[in-house]
Amino acid sequence: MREVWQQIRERFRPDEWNMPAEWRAERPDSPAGEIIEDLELPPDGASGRKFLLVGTVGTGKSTELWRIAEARAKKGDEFVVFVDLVHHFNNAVGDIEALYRIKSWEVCFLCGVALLRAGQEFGHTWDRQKVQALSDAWSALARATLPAGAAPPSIDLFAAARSMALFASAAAPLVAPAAFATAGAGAVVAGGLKALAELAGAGKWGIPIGKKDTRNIDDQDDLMQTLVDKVNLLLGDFRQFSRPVLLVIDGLDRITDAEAAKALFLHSQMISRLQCPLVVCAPFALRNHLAMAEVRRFEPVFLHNAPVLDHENPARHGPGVAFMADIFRHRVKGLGAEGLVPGPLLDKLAYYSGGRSRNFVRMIHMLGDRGWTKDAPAATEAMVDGVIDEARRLIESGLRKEHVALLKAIALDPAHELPAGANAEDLLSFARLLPYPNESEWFYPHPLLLISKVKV
Amino acid sequence: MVLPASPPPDQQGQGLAPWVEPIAEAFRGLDRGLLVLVDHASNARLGELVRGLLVEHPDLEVVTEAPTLEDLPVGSFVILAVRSEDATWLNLKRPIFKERALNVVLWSSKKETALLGRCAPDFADWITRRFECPPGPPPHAVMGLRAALCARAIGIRFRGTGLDQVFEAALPGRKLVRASASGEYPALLDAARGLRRDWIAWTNVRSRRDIDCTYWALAEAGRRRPFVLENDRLARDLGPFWDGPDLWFVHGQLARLKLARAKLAAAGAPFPGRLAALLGLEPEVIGLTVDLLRRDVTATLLEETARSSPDPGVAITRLAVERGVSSLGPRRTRSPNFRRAFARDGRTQQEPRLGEPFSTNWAHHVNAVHALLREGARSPERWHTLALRVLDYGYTDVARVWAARASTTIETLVEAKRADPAPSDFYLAEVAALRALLSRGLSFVSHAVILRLEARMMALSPQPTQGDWWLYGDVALEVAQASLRAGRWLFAADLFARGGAQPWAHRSEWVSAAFLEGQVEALLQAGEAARAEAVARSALAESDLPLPHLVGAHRALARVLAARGRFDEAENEWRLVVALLERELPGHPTLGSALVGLADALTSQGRHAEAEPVAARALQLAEKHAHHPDRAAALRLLAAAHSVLGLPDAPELAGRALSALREAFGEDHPLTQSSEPHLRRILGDADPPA
Repeated sequence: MREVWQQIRERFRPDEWNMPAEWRAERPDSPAGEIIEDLELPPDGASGRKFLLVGTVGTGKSTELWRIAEARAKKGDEFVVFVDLVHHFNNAVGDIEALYRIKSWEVCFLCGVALLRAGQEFGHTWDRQKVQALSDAWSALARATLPAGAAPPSIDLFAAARSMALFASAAAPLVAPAAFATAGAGAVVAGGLKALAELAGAGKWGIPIGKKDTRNIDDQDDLMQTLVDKVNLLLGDFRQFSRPVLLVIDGLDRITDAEAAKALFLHSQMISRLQCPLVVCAPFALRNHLAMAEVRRFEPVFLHNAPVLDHENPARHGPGVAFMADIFRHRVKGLGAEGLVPGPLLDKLAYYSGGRSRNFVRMIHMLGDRGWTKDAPAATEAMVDGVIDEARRLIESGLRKEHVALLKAIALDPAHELPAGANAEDLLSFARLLPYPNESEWFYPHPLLLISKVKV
Repeated sequence: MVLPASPPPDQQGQGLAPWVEPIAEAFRGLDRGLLVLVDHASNARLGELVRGLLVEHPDLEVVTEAPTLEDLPVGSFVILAVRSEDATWLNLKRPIFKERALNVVLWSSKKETALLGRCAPDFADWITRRFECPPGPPPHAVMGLRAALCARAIGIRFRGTGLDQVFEAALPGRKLVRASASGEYPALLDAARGLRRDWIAWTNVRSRRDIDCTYWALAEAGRRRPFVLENDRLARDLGPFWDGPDLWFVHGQLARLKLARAKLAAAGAPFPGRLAALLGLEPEVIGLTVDLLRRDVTATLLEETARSSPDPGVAITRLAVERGVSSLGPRRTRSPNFRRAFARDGRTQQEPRLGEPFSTNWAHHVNAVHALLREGARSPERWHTLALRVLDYGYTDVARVWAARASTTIETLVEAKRADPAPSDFYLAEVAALRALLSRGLSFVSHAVILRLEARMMALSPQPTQGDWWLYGDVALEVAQASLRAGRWLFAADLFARGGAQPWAHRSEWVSAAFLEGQVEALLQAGEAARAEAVARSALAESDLPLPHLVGAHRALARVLAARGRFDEAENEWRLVVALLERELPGHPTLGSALVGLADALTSQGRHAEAEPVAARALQLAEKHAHHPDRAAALRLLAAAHSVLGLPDAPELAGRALSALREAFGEDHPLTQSSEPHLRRILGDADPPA
C-alpha cells in the first residue's frame, strides 16, 4: 500500500490547482458552468459580458477561472487570453508587491499588452500606429501620475509583451488558409492536447507598474479615457481579422486591502470599459460592496464553500460532504484507492475541511503521510483524528480573542448572518469564517475551530 | 555533584531528535517540493532540526530572507526563518514555491505564524503540514550550567531568558526559587533561610552591593549551594563581565540568525545559515568560527566538527586553540565556551571553587566578611566586628541588622534627595501656512494662453461681410482642411471651430456639417478624443438640427467612438446615420461611407456574420458611385469577414481589396499598410510574423 499512499501524497497538494481534467470533480454549485453558458449569449451591449468571480481564499477561484478559460478555448468562439497577474508580477516584473498597488488603468494597459503578446504569438500583425498610440497613452498617463519633474521612461511595448507569460487559445485565432502559428504555439496546436497554450515569458518587464507615490487620476480624465480607448482599439484591430477576444484575469483577488480593491472595481470603471468579455477574479472583501453598489457592467458571481455543514444544524453533515468525497474519488482514479479511506472517515475529513477544497486536499495529504509512514492497509480513525488535530492547530493560529468572540456570536445566531465590521472581514479573508450557499448566503466558523477554540 | 546523564549520542550528533523525525518523514518520497510549517519555532532548537535534516538533505540551507528563495535552484531544500516583513512577499510570491519545486520548512515562531495567517492567507493556505517545535533552552546554556556545577563554581551569572528551562534541562527535578536582591538585607536573609534543597536565583541584581549582600545572606543562612544571578545589571556598576568577580558566566543568548549567517557568509561559509544553526547560534562560537574561516579552516571541517560533538561550542573552541586562532589568556578563557572547553582539564586559569574565597582583589572585603560569617562562633563581638566592617564599606542597612544583633545602636544616615530640575524651557512649534502660488500662477498662464489663442483666431478669421459668405465659407473650409492634411491638427480644429461658428459657414447645411466633422476629425487626429466627442455630442444636443447637420453630427460622433474603441456605441451611431440617409436621402452617395463605417464597427467587435452583408452592400454602392476609397474599405472588410467565416472566396476578395487600397489610398497610406499583412495572410502568401 505504500506506493498507493505515496501517489496520494503526490496527488493531493494544496498548492496545485491546474491539474488534469479527469482529476477534477464537478462542483454542483460551480459558477463556471453558468459563466461559460452566459458567455454564449449575445452580449448586452457590444462591450461583452463581464464577470467578477468573488470568493474567499482556497475556494477554488483559480480552478474555476481555468475551467472557464479552457471551456471557452475548446469551444473556439473566442480567442481566450488567460493572464495570471501574480505570475506576471512575480516573474516578469520581479516586484510582487507592486501588484498590491496596481491601478485600474494599469490593469487595462496590461490587458492590452497581453493581447499584443498573444496576438503576435499567433500570427496577428499589429497595426504599429495603434500600438504606438497605446505606448503614447501610457507615457502621458504615467507622466501625469508621477511627481512633478519626473518623467516616465520610453517604452517598447513589443519587448514588454515578450516578457509576459500567459495562456492563450491553442487553436489559432485567425481562420485563414495559411498556417501561420509560430513554432511554440503551433506545437501545442498540432498536438491538439490542450485548449490553452502556455506562452512563456522572455526577459524582464521593463515598464514601471504599481509604483509607490504615484498620483491617482480620475476616470474621467482624458488621459485615463485615452488609455482604455487605445486598448480597445487594439482589441478592435485584432478582431477585424480574427475571432472575438475573451480576457480572463487571475490574481487581482490577491489584493486584500479593501480600499485598493474598491479603487480597482468600485471607484473606477476603467476595467469594465474594456470592450470585450472579461472574467476577473476579485477579492472577497468586495462582497458587501458588490452586493450593495451598482457595479456597472460587471456581474458579480460568488463562489462559496461547499456546504459541508447542515444549515439547520451545523453539527450535522451537509450536502457538500458528497462533493468533497467526490474530489477524493476523482483524484485517486486509477490508483485502486477508492476504498482506502472508509466512507465515514472520508466524510469526517470532508466535514472538517469546511467545504474548502484546499483544506480537504491538505488533510488527505496529511493522511497520506501517515499512511505512507505506517504502510497502513487503510486509513484508521486514529490517523484521521491525528490529521484533524494537525489541521486544527494550523488554522487556530492568528486568532485573537475578539475573533473568537465574534465567531461564537455568529455560530449562535440562528440566521448565521455576517456582522458588519473589520473583524468579520478579516475572518472571511483568513478563511476562519466561511460563507456557504443556500437560498441566501450564510456564514459559520470553520468546523476545525469548533473543536477547541470556539465552543458553542 | 551528581548530574543527570548526558543526552544519548544520537540526539547529540547526526541522529534525529524525536520531534524532527516526522518532519524528515514528511519530505521523504516527494520530489515536487513541499511546504511545511514548524510552528512555535525557537532558534535554540534550530540546530537540532538542521542536524536531523542534513542527513537526508546534504544541500540544506537556512535562509532568513524570503526573497532569496528566488535565486535558489529548482528542488532546493531550505529552512526559511519566517519574518513578519516577508509576509506580503510570501503571499504574493507563493507560486515560486511550486514553480521551483522548493522543499521548504517554515521556521516560524507563534507570533510569526499568527501573522502569516493574517497577512499571507493565500500562502498560509499552501502549507501542507504543520509541526510544532517543542520548547527548549539553548544547548550551550544547559551545557554551561552543567559545566559550572561540575566545576563547583561559587556562583553563576545567567543572562538571557528561559533560566527555568535551562535549569530544568541541566538539573531535572530540582527546584529553582527566585528572590529579589534589591530588598533590604533582612529580606535577603529570609529568602536564603527559606531555602531547603532548593536553588536560588537572585533577580534585580543591580550593583556590586547586591552581590555582596546576597552572598553574605547565603553565608549567614548557612547555605552552601552555588547561587545564580539572573540577568544582573552589573555591567553599569562593574564594567564588562570578564573583569568581575569569580562567577561563571552562562547565558542563554543566541546570536541573531540573520546576523550570524551574514558574518559566516562574509567569511566564506558556503552554507552560512546551516553552519550558524549547527553552532547553536552561540555568539562567541560564531565569532570564533568566523576567525577560523578567515584562517582558511574549511567550512566542511567546521561543520563536521560541530556536528560530531554534543557541544559544538566546545569542539570549535578547542579547534580554535589547536589552530592557534585563539589563546588561552585569562580574559578569553572566562567566556562561556572556553570555560566549558577547558575548565576541567586545568589548561585555563583556575577559578575559586565553592567554599573558597573570591580570588579578585576588589572582593577583599566580601571575602573578609564572608569568612567572619562562615568561621567561628557568631558572638555579639563577632556581630559587632561585622557591623563595623560593613559600616566602613557603606553597607548601613546590613550594619544596622548586625549591630542590632550586637545590641549596638547605629545612627541612621540620612541621604539628601536631589530635586529633579524643572524643565526651564518649552518651545512651541510654529506652523507656517503656505499659499497655493503655483495654482495662481497656472491660472494666469492658462488665461494668457487663451488670450493669445483668441488673438490668433481673430487675426485669422476677420469678420466677412454678408456678401462674402460663400467665398469665406468655402475658403475657410479649404484652409482648415488643408491644415488638417498638413498635420496641423489643433490649428485646423481651431479653424473649423471658428469657421463653423460664423454665419457664413451656414450658407449651406452641408458646409456647416463639414465644419463640424472637420473639427471633430482634427481633434481626433490631435489626440483630443474626449474633446472631439464633446463637440460632436454638443452639436447633437441642439434642437431642430437640419438633416445634413444631424447626419454630420452622428457621423462625426460615430467616428469619434470608433476611434476611441467604443465600437458598440459607434455601431449605434452608424446605424442612425444609415437609417437617416435611407429614409430621408435615399441614394445619397454618403450612404456607402456610412455602411462602411457600420461594417467596420461590427468587424471590430468580431461580429463578422453581421458585418458581411453590410460590407457587401457598401461595396455595391461604392462601385455604383465609383467611390474608390469606400470600395477599397468595403472590400477589405468583406475579405476579413469572409476569411473569419471560412468562406472560400476570401482569398479572391483579399486580392481585390489589396489592389483597391493601393489604388485608392496609395501604398503608404496607414490603412493600406496595416491591412496588407492580414490580406496577404488570407491570400496565403504571408511571411511568418516577426
